[in-house]
Amino acid sequence: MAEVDQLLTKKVADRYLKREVLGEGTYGVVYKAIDTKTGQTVAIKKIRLGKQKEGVNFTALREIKLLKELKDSNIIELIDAFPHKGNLHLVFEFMETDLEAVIRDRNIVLSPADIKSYIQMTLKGLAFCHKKWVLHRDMKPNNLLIGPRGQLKLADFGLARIFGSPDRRFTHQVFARWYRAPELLFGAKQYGPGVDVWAAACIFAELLLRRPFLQGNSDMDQLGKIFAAFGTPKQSQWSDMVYLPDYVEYQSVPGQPLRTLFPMASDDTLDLLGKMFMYDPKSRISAQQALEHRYFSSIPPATEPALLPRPPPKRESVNSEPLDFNPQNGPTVLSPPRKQRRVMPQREGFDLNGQQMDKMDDHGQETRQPAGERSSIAPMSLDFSVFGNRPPNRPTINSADRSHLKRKLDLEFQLPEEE
Amino acid sequence: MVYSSIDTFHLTDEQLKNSPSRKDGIDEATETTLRIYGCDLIQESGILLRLPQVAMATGQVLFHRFYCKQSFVRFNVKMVAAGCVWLASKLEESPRKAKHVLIVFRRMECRRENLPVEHLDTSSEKYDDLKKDLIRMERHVLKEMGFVCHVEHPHKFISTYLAALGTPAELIQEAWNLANDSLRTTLCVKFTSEVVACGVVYAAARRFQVPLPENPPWWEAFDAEKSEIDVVCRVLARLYSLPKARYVPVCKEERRGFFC
Repeated sequence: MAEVDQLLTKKVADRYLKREVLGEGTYGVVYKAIDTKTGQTVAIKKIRLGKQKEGVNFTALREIKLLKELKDSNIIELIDAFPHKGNLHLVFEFMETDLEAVIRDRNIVLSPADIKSYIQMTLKGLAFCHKKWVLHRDMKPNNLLIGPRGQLKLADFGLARIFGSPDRRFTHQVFARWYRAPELLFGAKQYGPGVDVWAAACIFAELLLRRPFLQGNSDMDQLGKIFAAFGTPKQSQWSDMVYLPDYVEYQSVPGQPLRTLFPMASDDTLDLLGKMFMYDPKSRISAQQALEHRYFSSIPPATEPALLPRPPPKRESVNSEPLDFNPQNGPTVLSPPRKQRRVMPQREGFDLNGQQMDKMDDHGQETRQPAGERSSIAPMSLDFSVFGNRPPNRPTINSADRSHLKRKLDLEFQLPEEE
Repeated sequence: MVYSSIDTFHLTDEQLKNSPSRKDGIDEATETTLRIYGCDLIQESGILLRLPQVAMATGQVLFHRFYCKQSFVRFNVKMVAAGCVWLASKLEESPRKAKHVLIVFRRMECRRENLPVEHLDTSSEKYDDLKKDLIRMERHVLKEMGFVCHVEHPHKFISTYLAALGTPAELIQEAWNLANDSLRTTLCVKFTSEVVACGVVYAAARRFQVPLPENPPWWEAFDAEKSEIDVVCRVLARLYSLPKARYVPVCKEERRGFFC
């Protein structure tokens, strides 16, 4: 069949048969293709170079450099990279869907075993990155791609960095806001793998709740949401907090027990979640330790990846690349420069993300039906579709944050991060 | 030349002797001079661009690897050096602008080749051409590397090895200096960084006459062989015996006066 195709379509670099465009990313087009050498379906990210003033894109270089090193079954495979007609082409394995599509699909019921499987694969990928001294820095459901056999893989390493050198300073403007760890929100420039674990915990919570867990609409609000859920951190919980660059004092609020936040979750689930949501990054559990937690050895055993519920491959969600440009998001609100300002956390905004629910639009053209009965097991995830509302827009690093980040990165062309 | 996995760009003596430049009629001495010259450019430009040392180190390794695959006749040493510094600045998370790289290289060229020092006019046609060349060069370097661009340096091993051996602080500094200087040579494409680190530690310990455990020999713990260490020491000794490298115009495309 490859022979017929060759007659019909032009090959890229004598090897890849171009298929439909999957979408447009921040720095180029992603299209589907067939690798004539292996017969494999691939996704090719075409990065425009021609008019780029500063040569090969910095984020693309990070991705190439790190993905050439990170070969693991839970990390997206960079099959090939080549320059062609003034563009840089990155060839990735083709992935059917992503975790965001799974979480949002109202027809899917996630059993406790399914959730365990998804979060286990997430943590495995993360543990591998951390073992190789790489921080992902953009963990979110949309960057966790799902392959044809249910295999979950970490993707989009455009913000990833090598860590481990002492005293190395990084930018804190990483991650989509809802997945940002408290130390980042307080402006920490020296941080470690804990930031990825916090984001993984947010994803874990999102799998349980079937909606983003902490949906702040500014950085300040994000901290307010975190504190409203877990209580304002006390000195004893996180002693270094007050020394962080953007630290502001929040009015003390008590936390809610995890049991109230996640009524359907098992005790083991809550124990692990609590350890991943630890305020002090030094006492936060590592990805590897999390994998050794009894949650993963207790019943029910994690579902085999191939048996996991997945949405039918749709046009919109099959993009193997995170093409999540979303212009509707508000601007990044940075913490005020002056410290010691008291901020009231918005407690009411927390319960059922009420106010946000009316101002969202687009994205979900999914049919809103109550969760179907897939099995006799009580679903662990809650379904909010009964409220007749669509999920709110996700802030992504591609929106306002991205422009901020870009400004930062541009700045850093002159001033290296270490300075 | 087969490199199956990451960061295993290592060649045999035989392969190094039959380099692409040799096939283009450049003798070994000239190639050595040009390699040192290019590395000098990378090191000096990195200082002028205020890059961290790791960027210069990565740039020099990329430079050596590039000339294992391409010849000095086809690619001008100055442009390759500029491309390597530029790429390395991005790889090591301290990106610099193409404009700054070109200004610095133009200035070094004028000073080193006794040309009248003039500032590079960034609105000129020459500048546009140079920038296009630089962008093309970066892509070329990446392509020759097969897009494998993570570089492991001996420095990291030196500090762990010396910490394990419990040696005085000045020895660490000496070894560190030797490791930086070793980047001028093709040691980085001949041996793994671990072996270079052992050789450098050996040479530094000799110079300071610090005894290191020899029974059993300490290098065995770090998977290096005495013969390899000897080669490292010999190459370093030879490097220090050479005079300062001067530019040798061998590139076929000597054009436009800039960078060629």
